[in-house]
Amino acid sequence: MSFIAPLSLLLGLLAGPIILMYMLRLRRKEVLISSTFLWQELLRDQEANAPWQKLRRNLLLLLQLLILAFLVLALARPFWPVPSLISGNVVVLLDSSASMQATDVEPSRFEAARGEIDRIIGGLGGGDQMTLIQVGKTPVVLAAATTERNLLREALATAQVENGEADWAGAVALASGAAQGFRDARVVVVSDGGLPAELPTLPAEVVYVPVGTSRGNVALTALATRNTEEGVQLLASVQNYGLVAQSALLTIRLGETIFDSRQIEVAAEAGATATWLLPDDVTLINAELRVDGDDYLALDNRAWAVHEGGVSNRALLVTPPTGNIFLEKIYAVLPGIEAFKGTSGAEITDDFDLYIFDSTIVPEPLPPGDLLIINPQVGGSIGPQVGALFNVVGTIPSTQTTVTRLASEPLLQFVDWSNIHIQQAKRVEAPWARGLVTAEGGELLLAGQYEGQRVAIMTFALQESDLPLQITFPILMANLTSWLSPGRAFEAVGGIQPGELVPLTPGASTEEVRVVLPNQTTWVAEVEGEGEIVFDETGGVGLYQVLLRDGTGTRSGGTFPVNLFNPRESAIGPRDVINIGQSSSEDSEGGDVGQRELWPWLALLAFVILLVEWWLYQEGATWRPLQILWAGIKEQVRGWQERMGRG
Amino acid sequence: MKIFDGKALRKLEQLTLVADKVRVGVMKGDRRSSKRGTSIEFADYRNYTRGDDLRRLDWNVYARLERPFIKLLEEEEDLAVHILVDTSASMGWPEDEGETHKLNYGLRLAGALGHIGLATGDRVSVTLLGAGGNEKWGPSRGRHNSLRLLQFLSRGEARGVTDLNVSLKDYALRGGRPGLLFLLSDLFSPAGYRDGLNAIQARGFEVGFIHLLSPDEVEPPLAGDVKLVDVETGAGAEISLDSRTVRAYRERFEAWQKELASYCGGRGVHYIPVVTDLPWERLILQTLRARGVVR
Repeated sequence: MSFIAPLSLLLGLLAGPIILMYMLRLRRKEVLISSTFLWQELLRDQEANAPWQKLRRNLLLLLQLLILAFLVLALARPFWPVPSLISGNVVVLLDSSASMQATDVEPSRFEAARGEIDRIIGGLGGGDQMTLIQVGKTPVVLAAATTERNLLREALATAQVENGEADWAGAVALASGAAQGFRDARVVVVSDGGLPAELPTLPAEVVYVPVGTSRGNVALTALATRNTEEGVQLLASVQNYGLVAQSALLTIRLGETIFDSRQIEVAAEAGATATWLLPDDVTLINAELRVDGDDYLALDNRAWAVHEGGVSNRALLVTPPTGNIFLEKIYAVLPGIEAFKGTSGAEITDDFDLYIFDSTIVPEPLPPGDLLIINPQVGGSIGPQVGALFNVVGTIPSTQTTVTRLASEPLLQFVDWSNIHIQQAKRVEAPWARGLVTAEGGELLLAGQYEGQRVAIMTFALQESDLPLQITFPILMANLTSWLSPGRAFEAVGGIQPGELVPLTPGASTEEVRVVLPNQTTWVAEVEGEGEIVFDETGGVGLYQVLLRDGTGTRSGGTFPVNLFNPRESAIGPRDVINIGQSSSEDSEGGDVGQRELWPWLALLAFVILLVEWWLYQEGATWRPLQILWAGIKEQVRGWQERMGRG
Repeated sequence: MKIFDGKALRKLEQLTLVADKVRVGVMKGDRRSSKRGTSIEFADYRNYTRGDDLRRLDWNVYARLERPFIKLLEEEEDLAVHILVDTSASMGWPEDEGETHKLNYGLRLAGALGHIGLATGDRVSVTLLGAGGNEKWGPSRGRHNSLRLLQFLSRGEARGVTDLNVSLKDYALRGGRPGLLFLLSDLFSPAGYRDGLNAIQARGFEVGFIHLLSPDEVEPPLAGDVKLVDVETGAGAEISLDSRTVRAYRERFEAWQKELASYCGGRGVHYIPVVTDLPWERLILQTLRARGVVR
């Protein structure tokens, strides 16, 4: 125990006057009695060992000296030195990135960090404020500039470790904002040190409290498929971040069934890859790594992949031999769809999702997919049957192609038909369809559901209008295509990391998007207006299934995997030094000595004794209350002893 | 100060003071004496010798036996009763002059004893032992003197320092015919009392010593750091009172009383300790009766 203001101890000299006053007997009360005859003899005995005896017996003096002692001690501001504890105003950054899940310290690095912060909270001085920031994918201020330890502890308890990378830049920005509110604040970084290189300088001293001891971790760093000539090839790469060579068992599952297990030897600080040839119809792939040796991070031992062929968005574009440059161009750039070219008359296979017939005869029976029919033709051998789908009953001359009505449908979102000129269109009868664009002479664009298939009919040839030259054309085609064949509702190039945002493009007619998370809960979002929807609950690793619902039912919008393929998180080795801006901070263990001040307790004690003294004084008797007290204490002690004895 | 009411006086008239040995009296009293005397109570016969009073010859026996016999009759004497009341300042305690005031209690007791004596024909003298010398009333006989005795007693006042030794020696010299002597005091006399008591006993007094103490002297209600001031001598004693000191005082007090009792017992002195919260009627009608001082 040391003192902040040891000079105050000199005030202890005040005990001298107090004792002197007692010894001078300034406060004796004169009491008349009939005779001191008997007392004189007593006095003779007593005065033999006065004045010390008197001092000893005088409870009030003793209490006063105690009060003085405690007050002087309180003024001297004693404190316990608390090792590796940060005192003063602090901004604490709690790393909650994936690497903090490592279990090289029990129970985990994150819990250890929580413990460190709890100690810091416990070591806070009376007026010291703390701001607690959880550094995750999105840094969160859990508690802002408070002296309330309970509040801080509650806030600390709500902190959750995440599965992704932490946004240190955002956290440092928050911390520098918080530190500006304090005078001589410190920023405490409780982390395993996986900080990015380029961070802005903090306007405060940075204290680094490291957690973690080991770097032993074997991780799956890639899992991907590609189409080759032999079939679907799967590539998995495994990285050993530890200092010891490891042997790992890699198990590949296709769907729920085990496909293969392979023992992989990985040298220290090296990687290894393995490949498999998978069956063509593979969609969902899961890899799991099992390591016998040191492998403290479990999160990167599992990975998922979705073979792109699984959710096919293939379109077959059937055009006259001359082709249609407009359609070919537009389908080359439309996202989420892969177009193949066919010619009229050639055999049509069944494995497409969307068939586009441009100025060609629609074959009978209808191919099993959605249909976009442009400039419908009737003829050949199939004429009568096609009549069930549609009938061409005449033509609409250019004088009657002025548009009279646009249906208010999502399909026509952003479509501007005001400047479109059409030379000639066909008058088409299709009772199952609704007219989207209606001109004076008849419908120009129809859409509807025919025996479970979505069909759209454009009644004019693109070459006979200036539509393909208008800005509306790609919008209309995108709308039509996404309604006809929604395909994938997301872009997942290069894989998605935990915590990353996934923009969902549900397509024009979709009313609701659902995402089934790896933990089988469902995320739901209503589609309003144009909406690109951002899906932000990618916290967990695993497979996310997107479901799209529109007026006609629910369709799959594809499945995407979220994997921790992040070398910065997988390399869990704790760093001794972190760099934030220009300053670097070393492990603070033992460097800082906190002060747990004791003066409030001492002052409280002095106050309690003051109350006791006052009570004794008021009672006017020094012995009776004390006897009662003493008897009470003895009884209590006896009770304890009995209980102890029984225990 | 009104010492008694009429009812109490009537109660007192039924009592008699008792002395172990009746002293030679000069007047014929109500008391039997061990001496043969002139009363009508027959005691014995003896042969006539020359010089005997012929009035006491039993003529009937002479007529029958023709030999002169003197009839011996029991002598009846009066008893000299001395009542000494200590009026030192320490007797004026407690200060509030209430029921337990020692001097008032002592004067009332003196009045009671004096009245009993007067009522039974004893020769009663009452003396107040004060700082300025002894103040004496009597000796007087006959119950008609009771009122005067009470008037005298009501003048009693606690004052000054009394040296019991000096006062008792003085009384031994001038007190007159020895008899039954009651000493009423608290014995808080710094110089002691033994020499005086010796002098009194040497003169042939039979002593009854009534030791008066107020309740707060037996059990002091004091605590804390106090300076005790002697009301009589003005001497101060600074003392820190706690349970131990008070216990020590109790022990000292009991030892003192025991010593007094054994000293008095060894010298044939009736030692009667009295705490003044005892009603005086009970003291006289029960305690003193039980101790054989009154009958």
